[in-house]
Amino acid sequence: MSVTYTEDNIKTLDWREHIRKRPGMYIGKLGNGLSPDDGIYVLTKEIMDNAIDEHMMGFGKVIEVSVSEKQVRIRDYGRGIPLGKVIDCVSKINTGGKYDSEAFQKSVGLNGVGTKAVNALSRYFSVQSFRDGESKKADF
Amino acid sequence: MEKAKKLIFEIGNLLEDAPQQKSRDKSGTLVIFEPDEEIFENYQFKPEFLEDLMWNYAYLNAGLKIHFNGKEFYSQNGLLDLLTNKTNEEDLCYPIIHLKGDDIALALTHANQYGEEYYSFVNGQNTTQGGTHLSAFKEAYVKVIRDHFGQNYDPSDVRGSIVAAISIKVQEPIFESQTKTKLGSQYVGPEGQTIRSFVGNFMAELDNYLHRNPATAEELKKKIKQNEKERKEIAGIQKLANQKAKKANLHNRKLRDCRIHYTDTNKDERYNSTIFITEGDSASGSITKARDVQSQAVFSLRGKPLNCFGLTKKIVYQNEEFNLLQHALNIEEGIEHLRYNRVVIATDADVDGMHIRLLLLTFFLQFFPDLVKQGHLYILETPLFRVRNKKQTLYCYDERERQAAIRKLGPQPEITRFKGLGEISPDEFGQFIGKDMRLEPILLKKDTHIKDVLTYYMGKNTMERQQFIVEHLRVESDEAEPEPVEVKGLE
Repeated sequence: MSVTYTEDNIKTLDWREHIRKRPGMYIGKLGNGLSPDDGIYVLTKEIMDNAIDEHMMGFGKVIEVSVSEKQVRIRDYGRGIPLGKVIDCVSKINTGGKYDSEAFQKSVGLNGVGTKAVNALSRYFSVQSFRDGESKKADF
Repeated sequence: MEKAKKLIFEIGNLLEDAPQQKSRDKSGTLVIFEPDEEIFENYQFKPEFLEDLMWNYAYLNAGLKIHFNGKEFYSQNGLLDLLTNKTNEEDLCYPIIHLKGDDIALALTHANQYGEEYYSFVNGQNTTQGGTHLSAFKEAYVKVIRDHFGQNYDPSDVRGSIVAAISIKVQEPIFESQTKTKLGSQYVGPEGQTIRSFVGNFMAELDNYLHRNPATAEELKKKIKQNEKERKEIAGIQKLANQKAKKANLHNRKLRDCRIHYTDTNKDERYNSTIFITEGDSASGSITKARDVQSQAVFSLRGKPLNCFGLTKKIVYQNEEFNLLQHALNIEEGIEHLRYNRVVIATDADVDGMHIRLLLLTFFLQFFPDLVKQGHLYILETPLFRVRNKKQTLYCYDERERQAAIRKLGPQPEITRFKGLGEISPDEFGQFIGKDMRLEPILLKKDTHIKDVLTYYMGKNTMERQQFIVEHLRVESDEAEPEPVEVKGLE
């Protein structure tokens, strides 16, 4: 039997598919949470990193975190994601506010992938930004 | 917002795009997520695993308050607090040295323990596998010490028993993997100097510090001398032991190795690399037959290992079993080249098994504390009971699970109690070390001090321990099992 190699063999993966097919590239190993380096802790860290970056920039002195068996909730008191870009920031790969800012160059989360990876690998993902008396929320 | 609807959607798809609203909440961002079970099967968060992470954030962002599950994580003095919490004050050879500069901070001391213990960070990221900044620090540190004392000390003597934390900030850091655990950057920025010279230049501060604090310098020197003395004492036996181990490695009867190792950094499966340390031939036999030869290795002990509490490192070379074990794991010169991500103690769930566990824990805590602190050591949990009827078989890890299984399987299921690992057939064992393997990690809490714990459990009989035994002694009865059917090997 000959192996055919045609246009049908070439695939372009949607960003979510890509992350879900190759989670290792984004979060290392998967695991079930019994090991401290399992993926679910890396997801938590990705979200924490963004909150910490805001603090390092001088915004927010407190971060609230609660983790139950299945769910993580992280609230920072930074500036909030600009309301018009909330959805893009968590679902469009390579979207982020850290590309050209000098201060952000010394942060870790500057590749614009972290939050999207968390989104793609979550059954439920909700983001809400608060800015100057207005709020914007999106559920995935 | 009905729940059912959410589940139908593909993960990562937008479900609800709520319109912008007025809000009285303070500015900021709120994220809530639940990992997907399809990717993380049967996952469960263990919040205690995140405590170290939260502490690290606190140490690196002095002044920040993190409220985590009702507890506050806060540090005023950064890396100094980190080392204070990681060590026991009376074990320190001299007060912790804490140095700070632009984009770099450092804390270090020497403690009465084996190995080298490092905590390294880049831009707030804990680089658990080190990288260029840590290498630069180790190199510069040895150089500064040698120059300060005008002595050509052996690097291992200068670094032995060190506990140090280093944090640097670089522009656009390059990591060796997406999980960012190892720094690969050579330069501090696109137009900056090399990390090596940046760290090296800063280390002149250490020389200044030692000049200003002669008492600390004196203690440090004493410690180096002590390391030197001990190293020379075991040099002879070490050489001999290493030759023996090399010979044995070719035909190591104790080790059944696997193909993928933790050191294979180009392979994702390296995280699954596991070594089981088992007791006795029958258990080793089952586990060897049942294991996944790709990623699971087996090391079998003969009888009980030595209680090495209070002994010096010499014993690791003198005792054949310990020597072979350290070579199997490849940790003789530190855990940098550890061959397995998970080192799993797999002993019977009886008193002898418990004793062997304790003896092995003592061995690791005493001579390789960094292996435990980095979270590589585990205990294998195996089921105590098998409950089955004609249709279904359930394995139960404790009495509560056994009761639940009996309720589930209905009238008069067959109940078997496993007496030891050796009695579990290879087929069944395969399930216990497969994807549903239950591992209990050995965690060291912030306030656990290895020395106190070991003295209490493994040292000479103390009044406290005697008292504990008297208070907790009870006679075991087997009334929990009405009619046990004993398993004899394969069925």
